Amino acid sequence: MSTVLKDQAAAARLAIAESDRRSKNEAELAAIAAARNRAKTATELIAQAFSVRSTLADHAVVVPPLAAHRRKEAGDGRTGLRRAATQLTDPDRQLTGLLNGQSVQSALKQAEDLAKALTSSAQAAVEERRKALRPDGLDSPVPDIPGHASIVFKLRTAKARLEEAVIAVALSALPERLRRLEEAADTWRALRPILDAHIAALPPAIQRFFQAAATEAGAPWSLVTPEVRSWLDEPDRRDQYRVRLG
Amino acid sequence: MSVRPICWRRADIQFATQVDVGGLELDDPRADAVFLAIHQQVPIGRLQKAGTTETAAIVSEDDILADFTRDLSSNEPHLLFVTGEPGTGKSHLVRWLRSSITDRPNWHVVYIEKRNTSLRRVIERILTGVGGPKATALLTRLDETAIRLSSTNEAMLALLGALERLVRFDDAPSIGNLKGAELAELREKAGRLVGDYTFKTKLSRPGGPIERITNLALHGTDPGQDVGEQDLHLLPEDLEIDPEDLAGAGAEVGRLVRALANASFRRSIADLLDHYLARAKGEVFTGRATDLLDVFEEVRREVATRGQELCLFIEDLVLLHGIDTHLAQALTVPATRDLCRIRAVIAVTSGYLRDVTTFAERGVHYTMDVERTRVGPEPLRAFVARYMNAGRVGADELAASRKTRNSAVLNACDACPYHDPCHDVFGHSADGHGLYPFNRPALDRMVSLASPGGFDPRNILREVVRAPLEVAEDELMAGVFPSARFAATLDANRTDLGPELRELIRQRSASPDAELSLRAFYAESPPRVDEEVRAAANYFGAALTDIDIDEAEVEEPTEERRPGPQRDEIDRWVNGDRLSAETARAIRRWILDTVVARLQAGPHGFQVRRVRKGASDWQIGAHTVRLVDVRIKDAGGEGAIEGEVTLSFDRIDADALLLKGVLAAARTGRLDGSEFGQWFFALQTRLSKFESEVIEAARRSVSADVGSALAVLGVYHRLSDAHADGGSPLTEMLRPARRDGLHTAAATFAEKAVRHRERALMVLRDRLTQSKGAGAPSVFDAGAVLADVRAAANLQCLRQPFTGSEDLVHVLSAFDRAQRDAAVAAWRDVNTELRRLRDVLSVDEDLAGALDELDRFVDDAHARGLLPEADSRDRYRERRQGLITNAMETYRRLARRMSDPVGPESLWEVAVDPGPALRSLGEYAEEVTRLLTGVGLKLAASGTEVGEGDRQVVHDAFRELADRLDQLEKHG
Repeated sequence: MSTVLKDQAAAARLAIAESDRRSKNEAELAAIAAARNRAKTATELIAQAFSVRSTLADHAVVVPPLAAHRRKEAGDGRTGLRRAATQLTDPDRQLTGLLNGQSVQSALKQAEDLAKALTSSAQAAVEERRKALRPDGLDSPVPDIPGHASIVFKLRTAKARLEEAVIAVALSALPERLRRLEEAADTWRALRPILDAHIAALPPAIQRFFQAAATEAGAPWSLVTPEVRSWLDEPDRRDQYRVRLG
Repeated sequence: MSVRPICWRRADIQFATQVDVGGLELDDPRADAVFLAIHQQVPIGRLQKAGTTETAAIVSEDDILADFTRDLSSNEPHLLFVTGEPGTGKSHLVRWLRSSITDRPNWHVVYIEKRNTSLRRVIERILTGVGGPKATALLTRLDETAIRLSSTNEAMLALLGALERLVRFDDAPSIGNLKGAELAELREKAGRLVGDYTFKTKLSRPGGPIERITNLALHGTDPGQDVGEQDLHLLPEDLEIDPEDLAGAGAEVGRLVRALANASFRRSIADLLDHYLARAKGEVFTGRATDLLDVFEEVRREVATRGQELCLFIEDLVLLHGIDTHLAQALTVPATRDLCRIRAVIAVTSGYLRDVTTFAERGVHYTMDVERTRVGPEPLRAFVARYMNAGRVGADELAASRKTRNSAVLNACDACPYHDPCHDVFGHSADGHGLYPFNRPALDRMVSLASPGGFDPRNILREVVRAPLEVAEDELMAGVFPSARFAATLDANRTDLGPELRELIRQRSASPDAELSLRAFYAESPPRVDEEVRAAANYFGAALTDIDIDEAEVEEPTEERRPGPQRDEIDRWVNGDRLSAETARAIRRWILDTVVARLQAGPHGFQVRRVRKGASDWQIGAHTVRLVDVRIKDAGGEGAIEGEVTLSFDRIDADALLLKGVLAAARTGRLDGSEFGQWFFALQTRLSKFESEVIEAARRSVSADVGSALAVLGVYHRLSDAHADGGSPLTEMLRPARRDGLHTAAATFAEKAVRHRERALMVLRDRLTQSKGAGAPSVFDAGAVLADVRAAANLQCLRQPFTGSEDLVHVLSAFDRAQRDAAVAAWRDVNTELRRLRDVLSVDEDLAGALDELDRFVDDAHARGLLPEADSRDRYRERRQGLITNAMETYRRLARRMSDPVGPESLWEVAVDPGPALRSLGEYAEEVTRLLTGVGLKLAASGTEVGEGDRQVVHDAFRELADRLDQLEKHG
């Protein structure tokens, strides 16, 4: 390196200019990455939407087609992107300006909106299906009858799944969600009658006690009658119950 | 009488009066004949006991002979020592004893003479006629040694080598007063010195101490050479070596040689080396394995087997330095049945036996150091006359006559045709030897002058016989004997004649030198002319004046006018005594006052005043006349540095008469106190000349002083602003206004030199005004020196050599020294700044261009956030504004001078302190360098390039998405 300050300063200024040039490249790269990522994400979502729509259709869940204005937007976006793609092939073309330009940005936005719209319509379709699958009596509590824990657990799980609305579920997760809803509906329909039969076989005081205990308010102490107490004190049931202060 | 024969031959006189009787080779018939012809009985002292100088009795040579030859009644060696100062006849006595012993078949005689006595020859002499195995082996070793030491150079090297070895490795625990660590250190230093090649070369130089010592040991003494005891030793003065001469020696030796300048250290080294010198000589010149004790024992055994005694004569033990100690031990071994008896007579210089302790307290000691008066005048005349007779008869004739006349010595006068008149005029000794060309008073006077204290025969022969006879030989035929050359070394001034008489004789005599010599030497009562003088003068053809001694005395001042002791002081001075400072001062003051009175009355226009009130020196214009400028040879006060103008008086009769007159005038106030005032008229010429020279010197001083004073002002005014602005030179020089921003050293110089400047101003004031006679000074037209003013204003430093009056030269020296010191101090600071600056800023920097570029750089970097700190640009701008105008030019100018030698004129380059300018540049450059480095680091860490692949990726992504959108458009 020269020991002359003037030369050093000139060299430093050249280095700054080069740094500037490299900064521009970085911005361009960032624009490329962003545009590419957005395009790929949108592409994948749309492709996924087609796929999910097909899967749901297999389960008789029909996702309605896009509205007309959406289809027009899709056409505009397609045109914008193809034009941009053509311009990208020009090596002298400044990418940052192109990619950050109105046309590309608008096209990408339209694609992203369309992907969201496809997702929302698929979600809505599955939600409709959930509601349709919801059995009667789902709102009644599922008492925890000693000796029937497995049935109680399965019923409670099915109840929870069928009561949860299908909102903000990822597009890709919709087919699985639909499968579980159908499974929960099947479980409820199969096991609820069995549990009800067991309850019906119990003394009335005990039925009352269990019915109350299964509610959110719990069973009042008054329901713990000697009969109930005696029933609970049976050796195989004694340690299965805990009293909690409300 | 017109016949003035030269009845002696110079060669025979020289042969007979050789420096030492040792020059007369033993058993040479000519030498023996001359020896017997010149031999004179002299009284000899027998010392009370060995080792003292107290004389017990005066004895004769016959007494000593009887002592030496007496029958030995014990086995103890019979040793006689003859001591005396050099030239007192010790060797002569030994030689006479040898000549006087009759044939004694039961004595094995060994005679060791001074002549050509090398150490090897001494041993050979001892071994002569002895054939034992040890003697043979020793002779072989001596031969080998002689072969080995084929040249003096080789012998010198060997001697120094032995000396170094002994000094370094001898294990004696003490030497003299030296012992312990001090001795060890001294051994190391002395060994280092004598072991050094360059130092050895210096000691061995031609005429140097080692050559002297080596030659004496290797070849002995030259018959005509006057060798003293000190010649055999290594003395402190032998080590007085100029360190410059040892420039090639190593640093340590260089330090030691410089240390030899210290007298005490030099003496210690010399004493140590000299202590080992005898052993070194013994080893080198007689062989290391030589044991003289063994050899002597073998000799004594051999002599014993022959039924003989060993009789040893040594003319001078001093010359045996190197083997003397061994010899002493050998000579003190008592006789046994197998070892013969020994008798020896050994001559040795007084004091030498102190070092040969074995001898010091043994034997009978005689001394030749007796007072001259004990010898008596007639034997002294006979002593001289015998030599003169030997010179007249000649060695060959003496040798021839000895064969026929047995012990009687031929007298040349007996057959001389001028015998009667010659002896009538010049006299003869008791032996009938004529004293011609001297007479009895002349001979007595010369002997007393040549031998003023003890009996000094060597000097008598040199100064009374040899030198005067050579003069007589040259002058007798020309009729100028006895000239001033006669006995000049004894009394060149003819001091028995007063200066007045001498001057009168010089003025009036037809043959003044001869008359002076005759009156001084040949007169019974000098300087009175008596019959002896007239007869001699008549014989030599010299004319005598009729100046009577009374006439000269009459012309002397009377006792009343000049007291006795003072009256004779000038006489004593002209005859060789030193003139007292008091008398010299009185003379000088009178002369100076007289000259000053003349100068004060003169029309030369200079101020004449005392240097200061009460001072004895006078200021004549710019020139100072000092009391000591009246120079009197060998007088008190003559140690002063000689002035530019002096009035000198030499120790000659004419000047003595002048000084007598001056002294009389100074003491009595009368000008006719001496020679009826004739001296005063003679002095006037000298005074006038002195006065003229003083005026001329004063004129020269004016010119030199004014020029020098202007130079001081000119150089000093460079410190002023006016000089920087180029104002009127004279005004600026007279009223300089000191400029701001001076370097501390320049400011100090300004402070120090201000008194020199003031002194220069005073000189100008004094020199540019003049007075008429003793009147007040009047204004002088300075226009005459305006050209000098302009030249002085351009001076950067004072020009050497400095000229002007003595005090002004001191001022110039001090001014120049102060300026030089200031320059050195200022440049030391500046160079420190320059070296620091050079690390961050090239002297080739285009600063103007760099500033523009750097400004833009800082702005660019700042805009991109590349500067190291948030306030970096502010700091940069602060440094930028702090740059001092022309700092870069200053930097370049000074950098070019960095390596140049610094002289007083160098001060002006840095007088206005360049430090701030250089520091401003340095701070700016350092800040810039910091910014450049910081920005560079940041830039190095940034960015990647966009490639073609990136463009393709986004292209493909867009295409794919477009296809999907197309699908959506078509199928919803």
